[in-house]
Amino acid sequence: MHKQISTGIQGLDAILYGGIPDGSAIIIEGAPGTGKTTLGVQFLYEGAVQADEAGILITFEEFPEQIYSDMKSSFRWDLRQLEKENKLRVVGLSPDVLLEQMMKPDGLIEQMIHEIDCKRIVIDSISLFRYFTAANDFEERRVLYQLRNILRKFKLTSLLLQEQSDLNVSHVPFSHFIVDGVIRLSVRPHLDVFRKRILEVVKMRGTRIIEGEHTYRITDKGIYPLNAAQTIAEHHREAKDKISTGIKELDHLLDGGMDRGAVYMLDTNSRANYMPLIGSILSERLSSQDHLLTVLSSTQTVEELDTLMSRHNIELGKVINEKRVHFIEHYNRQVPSGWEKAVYYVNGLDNEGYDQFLRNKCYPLIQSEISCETKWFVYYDLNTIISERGTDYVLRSFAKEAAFARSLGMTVLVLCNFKEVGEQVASFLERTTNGVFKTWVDGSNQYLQVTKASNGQLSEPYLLESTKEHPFIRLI
Amino acid sequence: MEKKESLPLQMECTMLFQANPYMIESISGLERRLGRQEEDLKPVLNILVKQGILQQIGEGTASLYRYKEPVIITDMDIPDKLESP
Repeated sequence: MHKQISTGIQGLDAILYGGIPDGSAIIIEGAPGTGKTTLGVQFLYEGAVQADEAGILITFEEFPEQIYSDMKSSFRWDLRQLEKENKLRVVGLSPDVLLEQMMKPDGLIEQMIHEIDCKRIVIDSISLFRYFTAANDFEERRVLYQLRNILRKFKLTSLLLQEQSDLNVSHVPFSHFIVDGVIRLSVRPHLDVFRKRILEVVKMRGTRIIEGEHTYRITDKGIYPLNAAQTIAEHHREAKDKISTGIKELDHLLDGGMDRGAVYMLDTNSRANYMPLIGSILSERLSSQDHLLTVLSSTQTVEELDTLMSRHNIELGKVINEKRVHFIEHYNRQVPSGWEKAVYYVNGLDNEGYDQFLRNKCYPLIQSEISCETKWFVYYDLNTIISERGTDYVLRSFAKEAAFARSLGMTVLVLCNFKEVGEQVASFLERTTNGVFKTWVDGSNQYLQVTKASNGQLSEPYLLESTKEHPFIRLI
Repeated sequence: MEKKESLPLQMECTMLFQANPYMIESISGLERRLGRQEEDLKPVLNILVKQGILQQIGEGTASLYRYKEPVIITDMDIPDKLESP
């Protein structure tokens, strides 16, 4: 595995899981004004200051003195001082001279590399090779390939700045095939009158990346990208306040698991098979000695839940005998003998009666056991409540029930099809919850994504793969 | 061009290299950077090379020019008393 070297740009290092693979050649592509030169100089400046690695900036068109002056006035980067300390060289020359001197044994560039023990190089910009090669694609490709090989020979980690001339992003320039990575900078309209700067890692050999379009700002400290999948985090939770979902990768995305005492929503469409996910979460709770309260749905009977739990190595009958599981049943359905005591039938109750049932029977039961330090987990399908009690009832009661659960430290998982309940209701539910998982089928694959979480980290969409052993699914 | 007449151009070239001390340029590159013509630049560059301000690499039209940073002693220990011979 390649050693990764920090770019010195905090947000970019996070996107690259540590930095750029050592010795690789990366294209920084962008239209004029996107900050390519700033990013390049920042890479060299921070390399010299933070990592004590010397660098060379090759500039074909811009005068070095202009770069010294711009960087000092915008970011207080004193490049002349770094040159005096032999940590940097800002070299102004022509593309043909660069190539000639790089190819020449002990040429000027080679001498300079050895003189300062150069580790990093930025070339601003390789688009100029086009004029040098008389716009001959074949010749330009040969020149760029040769340049990449020379940079590799000197073991330099290189940023090759490239002007984005073709605004059609589906067009892939040949240069992208030659290099080890491509980072694209772009500017888009934002809220009518603003512009939004976007950084995207299009290609990167040798390291994982956080995919997506990352917003960046040019601050007084240089380029500052923000992770695309990041909102404002709530306060940090201790590990003991985390509960495992039973799925290693999902726990990792949630910084250790679901937050105890929080309300989560699983948004699922009709084609997605969410049962392995539910099976894993519920079985994990029961095996951790939690108590479970669940509202049975029109599509899930006690027997079906029993089958699901036994697949996940939980004997539902045993847990019922231990009085650790309780069911709320909206339908007149039989349950296996001996399990009746765990079932509350609410099928004859109107909404007011159902409220009274919750207040007078359900809540006191939970409260009495909570005082004995029992941990509760609640799971139900909100679509069943909507179909049985109406959307208005859900809108009226959901926030109240969520607040009650949170006040008692109960963890709640609610299943819902956001598309089915409509945008307004979905938006209300999303706001009321602490976390949202979304699973859906697209084409022939099922995906899972964390779209809201207390740690502020939103995940990229993960592929769900079935496995033969518990928990029977894996996120890829 | 006479030596006396070339003084402003000598200054222009010297200042360009002084402000961009790691620039490496051919005559045609300097033509573009300074907006001057080769026939005017050539004798001036020869003078600057002879004066030790610039270093010439290679010969003819393909020669490259770079700045020779003057060696300046900035730190010097001067003893309080001169040692007797």
